[in-house]
Amino acid sequence: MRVDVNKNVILEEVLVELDQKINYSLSETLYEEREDLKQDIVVKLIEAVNKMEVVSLSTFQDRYENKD
Amino acid sequence: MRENKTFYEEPLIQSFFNIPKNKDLLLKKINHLDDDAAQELDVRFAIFFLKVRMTSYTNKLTRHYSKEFDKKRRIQRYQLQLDKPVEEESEHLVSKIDSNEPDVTDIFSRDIYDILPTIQMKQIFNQLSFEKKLILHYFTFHDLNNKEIAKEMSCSPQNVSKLKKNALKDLKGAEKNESRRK
Repeated sequence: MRVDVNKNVILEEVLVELDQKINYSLSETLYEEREDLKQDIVVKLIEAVNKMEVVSLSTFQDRYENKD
Repeated sequence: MRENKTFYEEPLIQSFFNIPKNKDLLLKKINHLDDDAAQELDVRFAIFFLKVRMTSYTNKLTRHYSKEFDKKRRIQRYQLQLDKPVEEESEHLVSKIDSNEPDVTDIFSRDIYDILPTIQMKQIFNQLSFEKKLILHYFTFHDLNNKEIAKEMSCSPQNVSKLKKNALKDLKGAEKNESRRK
Protein backbone atom coordinates (compact mmCIF):
# COMPACT_ATOMS: atom_id res chain seq x y z
CA MET A 1 0.00 0.00 0.00
CA ARG A 2 1.37 3.42 -1.02
CA VAL A 3 1.47 6.04 1.70
CA ASP A 4 2.19 9.74 1.63
CA VAL A 5 4.30 11.25 4.34
CA ASN A 6 6.17 14.51 4.63
CA LYS A 7 9.79 13.48 5.07
CA ASN A 8 10.93 17.02 5.79
CA VAL A 9 8.67 17.32 8.81
CA ILE A 10 10.14 14.11 10.19
CA LEU A 11 13.67 15.31 9.51
CA GLU A 12 12.95 18.53 11.35
CA GLU A 13 11.83 16.55 14.38
CA VAL A 14 14.96 14.43 14.26
CA LEU A 15 17.19 17.51 13.99
CA VAL A 16 15.53 19.09 17.01
CA GLU A 17 15.88 15.92 19.07
CA LEU A 18 19.49 15.37 18.09
CA ASP A 19 20.51 19.02 18.20
CA GLN A 20 22.59 18.62 21.33
CA LYS A 21 24.35 15.59 19.93
CA ILE A 22 25.15 17.40 16.71
CA ASN A 23 26.47 20.42 18.60
CA TYR A 24 28.66 18.17 20.67
CA SER A 25 30.24 16.74 17.54
CA LEU A 26 31.10 20.30 16.50
CA SER A 27 33.00 20.98 19.70
CA GLU A 28 36.31 19.73 18.32
CA THR A 29 36.12 22.07 15.35
CA LEU A 30 37.42 25.63 15.39
CA TYR A 31 34.77 28.00 16.61
CA GLU A 32 34.61 29.99 13.38
CA GLU A 33 34.10 26.83 11.31
CA ARG A 34 31.33 25.25 13.37
CA GLU A 35 28.47 26.90 11.53
CA ASP A 36 29.88 25.69 8.19
CA LEU A 37 30.26 22.17 9.50
CA LYS A 38 26.72 22.11 10.83
CA GLN A 39 25.41 23.30 7.48
CA ASP A 40 27.42 20.63 5.69
CA ILE A 41 25.95 17.97 7.95
CA VAL A 42 22.40 19.20 7.41
CA VAL A 43 22.88 19.32 3.63
CA LYS A 44 24.20 15.76 3.62
CA LEU A 45 21.24 14.70 5.72
CA ILE A 46 18.75 16.29 3.36
CA GLU A 47 20.41 14.55 0.40
CA ALA A 48 20.18 11.21 2.15
CA VAL A 49 16.59 11.77 3.27
CA ASN A 50 15.54 12.58 -0.28
CA LYS A 51 16.74 9.15 -1.30
CA MET A 52 14.98 7.38 1.55
CA GLU A 53 12.11 5.22 0.47
CA VAL A 54 8.77 5.54 2.24
CA VAL A 55 7.89 2.03 3.36
CA SER A 56 4.49 1.17 4.81
CA LEU A 57 4.00 -1.59 7.33
CA SER A 58 2.33 -3.89 4.80
CA THR A 59 5.12 -3.38 2.26
CA PHE A 60 7.76 -3.99 4.91
CA GLN A 61 6.06 -7.15 6.08
CA ASP A 62 5.64 -8.46 2.52
CA ARG A 63 9.30 -7.93 1.76
CA TYR A 64 10.33 -9.48 5.04
CA GLU A 65 8.27 -12.59 4.50
CA ASN A 66 9.19 -12.97 0.85
CA LYS A 67 12.85 -12.68 1.64
CA ASP A 68 12.99 -16.22 3.03
CA MET B 1 2.55 -18.72 10.68
CA ARG B 2 6.13 -19.24 11.72
CA GLU B 3 7.21 -16.35 9.50
CA ASN B 4 4.70 -14.12 11.23
CA LYS B 5 6.11 -15.04 14.63
CA THR B 6 9.66 -14.05 13.61
CA PHE B 7 8.42 -10.82 12.06
CA TYR B 8 6.79 -9.65 15.27
CA GLU B 9 9.92 -10.61 17.17
CA GLU B 10 12.05 -8.21 15.16
CA PRO B 11 13.24 -5.46 17.52
CA LEU B 12 12.23 -2.74 15.09
CA ILE B 13 8.71 -4.15 14.89
CA GLN B 14 8.59 -4.69 18.65
CA SER B 15 9.61 -1.08 19.25
CA PHE B 16 6.85 0.02 16.92
CA PHE B 17 4.18 -2.05 18.63
CA ASN B 18 5.37 -1.11 22.09
CA ILE B 19 3.62 2.16 21.39
CA PRO B 20 0.10 1.52 22.78
CA LYS B 21 -1.77 3.25 19.97
CA ASN B 22 -0.03 1.08 17.39
CA LYS B 23 -0.81 -2.06 19.32
CA ASP B 24 -4.49 -1.05 19.50
CA LEU B 25 -4.60 -0.45 15.77
CA LEU B 26 -3.02 -3.82 15.13
CA LEU B 27 -5.64 -5.58 17.23
CA LYS B 28 -8.37 -3.75 15.36
CA LYS B 29 -6.80 -4.73 12.08
CA ILE B 30 -6.46 -8.39 13.00
CA ASN B 31 -9.58 -8.97 15.05
CA HIS B 32 -12.04 -6.73 13.24
CA LEU B 33 -10.42 -6.64 9.79
CA ASP B 34 -10.59 -2.85 10.13
CA ASP B 35 -9.26 -1.33 6.90
CA ASP B 36 -8.99 2.17 8.36
CA ALA B 37 -6.87 0.82 11.18
CA ALA B 38 -4.71 -1.02 8.65
CA GLN B 39 -4.18 2.14 6.66
CA GLU B 40 -3.39 4.21 9.72
CA LEU B 41 -0.87 1.59 10.78
CA ASP B 42 0.77 1.75 7.37
CA VAL B 43 1.23 5.50 7.68
CA ARG B 44 2.36 5.41 11.29
CA PHE B 45 4.94 2.74 10.55
CA ALA B 46 6.22 4.63 7.50
CA ILE B 47 6.84 7.65 9.73
CA PHE B 48 8.35 5.55 12.51
CA PHE B 49 10.67 3.70 10.18
CA LEU B 50 11.81 6.89 8.45
CA LYS B 51 12.54 8.46 11.81
CA VAL B 52 14.62 5.46 12.90
CA ARG B 53 16.65 5.59 9.70
CA MET B 54 17.13 9.34 9.87
CA THR B 55 18.26 9.17 13.47
CA SER B 56 20.66 6.37 12.69
CA TYR B 57 22.14 8.21 9.73
CA THR B 58 22.43 11.48 11.66
CA ASN B 59 24.36 9.70 14.40
CA LYS B 60 26.69 8.14 11.84
CA LEU B 61 27.25 11.42 10.11
CA THR B 62 27.95 13.50 13.20
CA ARG B 63 30.41 10.89 14.38
CA HIS B 64 32.45 10.62 11.19
CA TYR B 65 31.94 13.76 9.17
CA SER B 66 33.33 16.26 11.68
CA LYS B 67 36.71 14.49 11.56
CA GLU B 68 36.79 14.57 7.75
CA PHE B 69 35.75 18.21 7.74
CA ASP B 70 38.52 19.19 10.16
CA LYS B 71 41.10 17.35 8.08
CA LYS B 72 40.02 19.13 4.91
CA ARG B 73 40.03 22.54 6.55
CA ARG B 74 43.45 21.96 8.04
CA ILE B 75 44.85 21.18 4.61
CA GLN B 76 43.21 24.27 3.15
CA ARG B 77 44.52 26.49 5.91
CA TYR B 78 48.12 25.44 5.47
CA GLN B 79 48.12 25.30 1.70
CA LEU B 80 50.91 27.34 0.08
CA GLN B 81 49.95 30.36 -2.00
CA LEU B 82 51.46 28.69 -5.06
CA ASP B 83 48.98 27.23 -7.49
CA LYS B 84 49.36 23.68 -6.24
CA PRO B 85 46.32 21.42 -6.38
CA VAL B 86 45.57 19.77 -3.09
CA GLU B 87 45.69 16.02 -3.39
CA GLU B 88 42.32 14.56 -2.59
CA GLU B 89 42.54 11.66 -0.22
CA SER B 90 41.39 8.59 -2.07
CA GLU B 91 39.59 6.97 0.80
CA HIS B 92 37.36 9.40 2.66
CA LEU B 93 35.73 7.82 5.59
CA VAL B 94 32.64 9.85 4.85
CA SER B 95 32.38 8.34 1.37
CA LYS B 96 32.12 4.97 3.05
CA ILE B 97 29.06 6.11 4.94
CA ASP B 98 26.41 4.52 2.87
CA SER B 99 23.32 6.60 2.51
CA ASN B 100 21.74 3.97 0.28
CA GLU B 101 19.03 2.04 1.97
CA PRO B 102 20.03 -1.19 3.64
CA ASP B 103 18.05 -4.26 2.85
CA VAL B 104 14.85 -3.43 4.67
CA THR B 105 14.25 -7.03 5.55
CA ASP B 106 17.52 -7.26 7.46
CA ILE B 107 17.12 -4.07 9.46
CA PHE B 108 17.89 -5.70 12.77
CA SER B 109 21.57 -6.46 12.10
CA ARG B 110 22.06 -3.73 9.51
CA ASP B 111 21.57 -0.80 11.86
CA ILE B 112 24.62 -1.63 13.99
CA TYR B 113 26.54 -3.08 11.03
CA ASP B 114 26.10 0.16 9.10
CA ILE B 115 27.64 2.37 11.72
CA LEU B 116 30.76 0.27 12.29
CA PRO B 117 33.61 2.15 10.64
CA THR B 118 35.93 -0.66 9.50
CA ILE B 119 35.54 -3.87 7.53
CA GLN B 120 37.22 -5.79 10.35
CA MET B 121 34.69 -4.59 12.85
CA LYS B 122 31.84 -5.44 10.50
CA GLN B 123 33.23 -8.96 10.14
CA ILE B 124 33.59 -9.39 13.88
CA PHE B 125 30.06 -8.08 14.39
CA ASN B 126 28.65 -10.61 11.92
CA GLN B 127 30.17 -13.40 13.97
CA LEU B 128 28.59 -12.29 17.22
CA SER B 129 25.74 -14.33 18.61
CA PHE B 130 22.14 -13.23 18.17
CA GLU B 131 21.95 -12.24 21.85
CA LYS B 132 25.02 -10.03 21.66
CA LYS B 133 23.74 -8.28 18.53
CA LEU B 134 20.39 -7.68 20.15
CA ILE B 135 22.00 -6.27 23.28
CA LEU B 136 24.13 -3.90 21.20
CA HIS B 137 21.02 -2.83 19.30
CA TYR B 138 19.04 -2.05 22.44
CA PHE B 139 22.03 -0.35 24.03
CA THR B 140 22.80 1.84 21.02
CA PHE B 141 19.43 2.74 19.56
CA HIS B 142 17.07 2.45 22.48
CA ASP B 143 19.51 3.62 25.12
CA LEU B 144 18.40 0.91 27.54
CA ASN B 145 20.44 0.05 30.60
CA ASN B 146 21.39 -3.55 31.48
CA LYS B 147 18.37 -4.03 33.70
CA GLU B 148 15.96 -2.89 30.98
CA ILE B 149 17.67 -5.02 28.33
CA ALA B 150 17.50 -8.05 30.63
CA LYS B 151 13.77 -7.49 30.99
CA GLU B 152 13.32 -7.34 27.19
CA MET B 153 15.32 -10.51 26.73
CA SER B 154 14.00 -12.41 29.75
CA CYS B 155 17.44 -13.07 31.14
CA SER B 156 19.47 -11.77 34.07
CA PRO B 157 21.14 -8.34 34.10
CA GLN B 158 24.39 -10.11 34.94
CA ASN B 159 24.12 -12.09 31.73
CA VAL B 160 23.44 -8.93 29.73
CA SER B 161 26.44 -7.26 31.34
CA LYS B 162 28.66 -10.22 30.52
CA LEU B 163 27.49 -10.53 26.92
CA LYS B 164 27.68 -6.79 26.30
CA LYS B 165 31.17 -6.58 27.76
CA ASN B 166 32.37 -9.46 25.60
CA ALA B 167 30.77 -8.08 22.45
CA LEU B 168 32.35 -4.66 22.96
CA LYS B 169 35.67 -6.29 23.79
CA ASP B 170 35.56 -8.27 20.54
CA LEU B 171 34.77 -5.17 18.52
CA LYS B 172 37.49 -3.17 20.25
CA GLY B 173 39.91 -5.99 19.48
CA ALA B 174 39.17 -5.48 15.79
CA GLU B 175 39.76 -1.75 16.14
CA LYS B 176 43.08 -2.30 17.89
CA ASN B 177 44.31 -4.67 15.17
CA GLU B 178 43.27 -2.12 12.59
CA SER B 179 45.27 0.70 14.18
CA ARG B 180 48.28 -1.55 14.80
CA ARG B 181 48.32 -2.33 11.10
CA LYS B 182 48.40 1.38 10.22
